[in-house]
Amino acid sequence: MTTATAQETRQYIMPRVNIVEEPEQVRIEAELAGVEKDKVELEVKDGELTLLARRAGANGKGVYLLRERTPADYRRVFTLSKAIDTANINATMKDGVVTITLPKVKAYQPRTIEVK
Amino acid sequence: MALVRWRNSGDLMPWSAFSDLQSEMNKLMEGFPCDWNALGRGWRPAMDLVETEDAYVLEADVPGVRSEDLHIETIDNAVTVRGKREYHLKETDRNVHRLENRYGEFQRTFEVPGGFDGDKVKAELRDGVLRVTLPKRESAKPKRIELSEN
Repeated sequence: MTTATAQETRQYIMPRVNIVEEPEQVRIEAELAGVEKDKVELEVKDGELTLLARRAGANGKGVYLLRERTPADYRRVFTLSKAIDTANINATMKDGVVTITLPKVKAYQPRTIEVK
Repeated sequence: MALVRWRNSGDLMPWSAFSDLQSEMNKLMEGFPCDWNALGRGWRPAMDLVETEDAYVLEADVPGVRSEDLHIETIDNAVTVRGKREYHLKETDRNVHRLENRYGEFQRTFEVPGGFDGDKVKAELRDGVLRVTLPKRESAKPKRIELSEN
């Protein structure tokens, strides 16, 4: 039997995402309310992209009269297709939404063939 | 076949009974602490309402909402938060694999039990979280009463 560390017992919720495929890239928009830009971790490993975001803790003491928000961190794993150029993944954060752009490798980008 | 002129009298208007019923239902719905508009369309951001010693703090998860699209109104003991988030697909967005994020309008009203000082309400938007601080009135803050010595 192993003793669970604080890290292991941490609660995660899956953020809601939009996944949109454009001709030359795939765009993921994930909702991360309450997360600062430097608390977002993106890791590519073994053909998977892991999004991990730490949410700012509840500040101040008080009595909850209404509690709907989940005080947990966000985590979601995406399986990457071989069409993704993993070396050039980019991400930007604005108003609690992270937009991840995953460019496609050239061979998977559309190209038009000219008829001679 | 004779045509009888239709009279708009109570007896021939069974619908009036329904219309009364509907207005009664509407009254009932208005009394519910629930945003009925959000059930069918739009979205309903998760919110917390916390009471501290000197204020009520309302926090709402509104990722992707711009500050100009958020409106906060207070009247008497009630605070209303209204906002919208629109989604504009780009021309190149022909292949949408997942669309889980919610878009549209929302509006929620809370009645704060002890009331608040409407002139000192503050609101800030940060990292997709709206935080409205509703300071308590001086008279509503806890006070310690010292015993007078005899």
